[in-house]
Amino acid sequence: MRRLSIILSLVAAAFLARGAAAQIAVDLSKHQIEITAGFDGAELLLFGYDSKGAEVVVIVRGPPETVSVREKARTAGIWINQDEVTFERAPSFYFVATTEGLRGDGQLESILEGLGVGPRYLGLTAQDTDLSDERVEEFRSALINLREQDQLYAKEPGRVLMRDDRLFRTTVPFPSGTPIGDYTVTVYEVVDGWPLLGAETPLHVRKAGFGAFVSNTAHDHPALYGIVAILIALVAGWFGGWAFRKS
Amino acid sequence: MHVYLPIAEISVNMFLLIGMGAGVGVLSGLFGVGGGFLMTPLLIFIGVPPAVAVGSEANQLVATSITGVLAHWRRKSVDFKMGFVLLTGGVIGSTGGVFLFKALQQLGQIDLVISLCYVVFLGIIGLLMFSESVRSMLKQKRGVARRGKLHKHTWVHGLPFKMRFHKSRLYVSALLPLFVGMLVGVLAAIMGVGGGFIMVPAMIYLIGMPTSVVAGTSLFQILFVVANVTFLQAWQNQTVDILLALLLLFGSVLGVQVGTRLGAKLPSEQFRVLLALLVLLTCGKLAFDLVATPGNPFSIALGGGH
Repeated sequence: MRRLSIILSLVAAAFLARGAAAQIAVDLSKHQIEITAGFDGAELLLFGYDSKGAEVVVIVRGPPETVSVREKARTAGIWINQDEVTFERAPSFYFVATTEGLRGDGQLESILEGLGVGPRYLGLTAQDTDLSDERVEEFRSALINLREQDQLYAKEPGRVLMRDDRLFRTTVPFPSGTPIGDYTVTVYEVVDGWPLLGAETPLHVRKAGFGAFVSNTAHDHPALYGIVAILIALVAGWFGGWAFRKS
Repeated sequence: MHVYLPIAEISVNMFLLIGMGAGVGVLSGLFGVGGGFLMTPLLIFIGVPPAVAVGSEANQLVATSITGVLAHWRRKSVDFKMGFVLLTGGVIGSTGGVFLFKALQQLGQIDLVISLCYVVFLGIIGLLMFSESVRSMLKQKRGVARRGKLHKHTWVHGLPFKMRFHKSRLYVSALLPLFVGMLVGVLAAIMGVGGGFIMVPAMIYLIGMPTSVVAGTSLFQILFVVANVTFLQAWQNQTVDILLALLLLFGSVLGVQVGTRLGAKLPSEQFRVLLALLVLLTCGKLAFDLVATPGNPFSIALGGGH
């Protein structure tokens, strides 16, 4: 905690030194998460400075991806995937948190609606489908609920702490299944329910070490990878049989 | 201790994987089966995507079957000629199977097809094995050994392209093993199994091979089929996780030895019944999951659908 306060005061000093021009800023304890063989989730410290000491909203978004949501229905006694809705550019990760003052019912939602970036307003646009709007909405909620279960989507009003009326900070949890890619971390200053100023900082999640080597080889040289996989298994199987025949 | 699987893209307890390998390995050693039919559903159950489970399990089976083939080769209980005909069919079947797998995955029906295949085949094999071993246990009690006809002539013997298989002392149509090999190849690609549990009964009852060469020859063909599935899944779908396969392998190499030693000490008939029950249990669990109302009818798939 002491080291944290030192960091925070240094940051504050740096921002103050730049004068009144910098009114909101944000940074992370690390700009890169490396998914190594032992990766089991991570937690980053997000901190920043707002000259007004206003309420803030923090949003962490993973790279967008195309996602299909399928619904099982009973046919001839068996549950089979039937209706399907495809969402383009659904964020692979989404975390939003606010300061205490924006904790009230629907407050966060209306701000996010203004920004067009809330969990219910994720820009989850469905591809053309024959299903009614209500049905598409069911699929949209299902997607959000499933991602919330996997801790990939989270909404945490009141999680951001404000100190000395200028400095804010919060922790951002990343589960073991954190998707790789380039993330954006954005913070907004909110005055009277309106987001005024924003600041941004990057975050990269990438595979590293042996795991990265394996996955890169699998994708860049798939045929070679297949042959090596077979050779490794042949040697391992032969060795296993040999070792136990000797004993 | 958790380990991040680079292709499956999930973090799993390392000892759970080694333990699963060991557990299935003990059963393989005990009953002389590959264990793919237990391992693949288990992997899917712990959260490995079905495509990765199938590809990586095929990779692991390469190791299991080479150990078996080498042991049978030393005992000279492999009919290589029959094996080559079977594996020709197997390579054709498994190649088709990998592409079928990809198509079904895009349709969003791969999980359903995997489950249905398991329920149907495990159900049939389990019931056959159960009734046969119960019958032979009863026979043993009565002490009566009825002797069947030495050679039955059926439609099978009317097929063209007859071939002589010296080791198996057979003169049958090459189409028969070719077809059996193809069927097993398709199943290997879709279900992530070696297919021994279908191959062995088909070789004994359909082709009429002597039991002494069945195990070695089926392992010989399985080796090439699972190697083909591993290569194609890696090449076409990037769904072979070497790390996952190695961890399972590590457990199963140890488990198989324990199982083999255990098997030598235990009465085989009773254990055949146990294996049959195990097969039926797996089948029952999968069948139940198909008909039971799911906790959440929705699921997410990455990438666009159709």
